[in-house]
Amino acid sequence: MREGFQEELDALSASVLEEGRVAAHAVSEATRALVDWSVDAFDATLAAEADLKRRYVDTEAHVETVLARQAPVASDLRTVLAVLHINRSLERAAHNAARVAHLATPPPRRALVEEAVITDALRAMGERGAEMLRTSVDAFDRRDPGADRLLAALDELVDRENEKIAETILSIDINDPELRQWASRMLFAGRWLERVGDHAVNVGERVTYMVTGEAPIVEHTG
Amino acid sequence: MDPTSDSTAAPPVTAPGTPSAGLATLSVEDRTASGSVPIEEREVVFDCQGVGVRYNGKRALRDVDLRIHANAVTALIGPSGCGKSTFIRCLNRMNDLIPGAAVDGAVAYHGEDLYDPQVDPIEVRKRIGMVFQKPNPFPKSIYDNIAFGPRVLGMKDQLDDRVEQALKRAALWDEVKDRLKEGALGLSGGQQQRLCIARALAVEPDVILMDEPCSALDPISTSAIEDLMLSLTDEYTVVIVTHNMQQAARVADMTAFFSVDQGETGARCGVLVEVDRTERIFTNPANERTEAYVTGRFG
Repeated sequence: MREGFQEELDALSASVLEEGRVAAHAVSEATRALVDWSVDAFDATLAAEADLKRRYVDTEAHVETVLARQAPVASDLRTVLAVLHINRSLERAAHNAARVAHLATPPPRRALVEEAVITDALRAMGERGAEMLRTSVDAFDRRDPGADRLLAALDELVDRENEKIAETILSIDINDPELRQWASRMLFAGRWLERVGDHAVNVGERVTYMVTGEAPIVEHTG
Repeated sequence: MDPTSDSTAAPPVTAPGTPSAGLATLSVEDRTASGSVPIEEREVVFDCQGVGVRYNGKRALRDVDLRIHANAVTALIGPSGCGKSTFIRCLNRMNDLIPGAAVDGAVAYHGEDLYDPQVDPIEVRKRIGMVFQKPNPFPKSIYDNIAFGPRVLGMKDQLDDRVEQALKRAALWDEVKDRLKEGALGLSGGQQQRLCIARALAVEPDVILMDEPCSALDPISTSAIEDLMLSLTDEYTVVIVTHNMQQAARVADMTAFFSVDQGETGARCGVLVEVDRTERIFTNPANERTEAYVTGRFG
């Protein structure tokens, strides 16, 4: 019954779950670093990203070995391919978290109504992105083919927050250099957090394909 | 003749120039016309309906409904005893040669009943050649092995050309062209198997049946035979029985999975579980039994 092969598949699945946990942690800490200017959170984000890069390399090597030695087919093949793609999505999500953390900077001293709107939106995006990553790997763990729809709906909310940030930034006085620099950084932070949501949706779609073999894959790129 | 040890069609014994006995003739142009057409839309070469086989009254295979399309490789896979070799022998009436074997159901070949009493089984085996597990060339020269069938069938015109073309078609010409008069038994196992394929091709068949043709060969020879199978589909229809699922995945356009059912009396009988495009069978089969077999969890 190929027990050794099953153990390899179980190990790959366990790797994905752990990577999901690390990626979600990276996004949460990056959000805290961004809106609370926490140095501890910044360090925790970079540590999580480095951890996930190591795991990513290890998982990809493991997938290569399984493909070469076990020649999986049918649902086993779909599982291995899903692990390969999910591995990449989670690594990218953590990398985006590190990008967000690097953008952390206090806002200009002038009190801004807009500042509250922007930071609240960024916090919401970060929290939702981390939640989406946890949901996506939980779907992988439960082999849930329907989570992609939930994730797509959550991604819509993330996108709306990002649009709100862009609209708010466009409304402020861009001739103030200090304010302009801060606003630009927050615009990029929103962009990277929006990508975290996309990666979580990609994970959900891979899970659907893994389980059903039928769902079309529409990668959220960009 | 032991049908399990021969490596090509049964020796044709019809008189020279005998017209096809109830079977329509297909030209090479007919056979090659379907190359770019989706497999399911290509001409149906074999249409099997409710095919079953009993040996001395004991049922070995039942209720096989299967269509085999032209200019494609169709692989038959399944665990030992599932009836896949029994089934492939139904396609050129090789079971006729086994005492006690009885075939039921219908096998239509290009729309004509293969088991019609008017159909000459020798003509059938000329049109539908067969290559077996163990290469078994005649103890003759390489040339005479290939020329044997055409000579017996009266296809003596341009015999040298016929031998050369068959050897080229079987990807063996370059390796043997300077020693055609040497004994065939001096060839390697892989070369002998390609010689047997060339011998089948020399009598201008329409279909090549292969019953585990690579099981006795090393990986290099196996690769050569697999390449050959793929190249043959531009003119021929190929049906292969294989225990090697990766081989089916590599070479077959369509794959049929056979398995074994156990009746209330404990009697085991082969059945066709699923047939589909090969990529589907090996990525997302419709039947759970197929999934369990191809992933190694059963059988």
